[in-house]
Amino acid sequence: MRSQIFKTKCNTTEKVFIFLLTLSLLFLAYKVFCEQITIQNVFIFLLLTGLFLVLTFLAYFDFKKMEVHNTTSLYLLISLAILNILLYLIFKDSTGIRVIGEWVYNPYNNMIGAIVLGSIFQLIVLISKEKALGQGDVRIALITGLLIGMSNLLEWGYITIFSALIYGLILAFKKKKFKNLKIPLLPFMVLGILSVLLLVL
Amino acid sequence: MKGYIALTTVLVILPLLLLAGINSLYKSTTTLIVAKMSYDYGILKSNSETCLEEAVYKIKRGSAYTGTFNLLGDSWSCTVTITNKDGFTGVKIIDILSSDENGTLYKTIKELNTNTDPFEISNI
Repeated sequence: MRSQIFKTKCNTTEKVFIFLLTLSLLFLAYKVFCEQITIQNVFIFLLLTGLFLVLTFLAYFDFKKMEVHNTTSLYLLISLAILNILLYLIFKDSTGIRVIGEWVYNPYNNMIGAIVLGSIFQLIVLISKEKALGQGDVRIALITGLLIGMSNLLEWGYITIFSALIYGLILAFKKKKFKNLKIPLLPFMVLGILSVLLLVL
Repeated sequence: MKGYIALTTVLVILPLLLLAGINSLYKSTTTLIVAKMSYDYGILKSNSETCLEEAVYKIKRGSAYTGTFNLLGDSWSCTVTITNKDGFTGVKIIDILSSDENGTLYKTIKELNTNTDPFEISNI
């Protein structure tokens, strides 16, 4: 019965999003619990699951409406900014906080990453007068910087730009239109964030 | 808030990203090469101490000893030349040239005074 609802109510886009989310959560569970199951690991798993869900929702919303969900993205940005500032003030001299496995959360590195990526995106928005890039993507760029940090920006950039390019080219060939073709960037940014986070874990 | 990117922008960003990637790759490669050279140098320097010890040992066994000898290790070798210092009796000059299989060279010259007990060794 439930599978029937899934088949009838979900179209291909939703199925792809659900599949990718499930895959990333399974991979996350494997990465977090492969060594041992502790209360700290469970807490981190729940925190990251929540984050993955929010990011996937934002990606889905952008994919459907070509818009960034205002309140969700704003709350996420504020909470991440507060978290990074607090951690920076608490562990000022530290080179980073080892969260789990190989993942070291470095608030200073993250804030630098957010400023650099946010500035580049804002510059593109200002120069092109929002024709080349949407203002909403700047907010997600800040969130990206705060999540993955400066040191992982290049890997994230590769994943994001190449996946967006492949999707854009497929769409362009389908529509037979290259000029003024706009594609949602947020799903690919989220794909980049999830990939980078899962790789560094 | 708008959340899109023009395909043209993606195409413009791509070469910039590739350039940044290539730059990063070159930097990493250079760092690796420098680190390897530094490591090799450290190992060779440590090995050349063995040659110095051998030279001092030879002089201790026979204080008149002068000449050249080679020491061969697994992946390194050194040539030690011992000469008397002109005008100074009992003072020897030890010239050590070490090299490894990667072509790293380490040259050091020491002065050994055998008139004192224990011997005094100093850099030139």
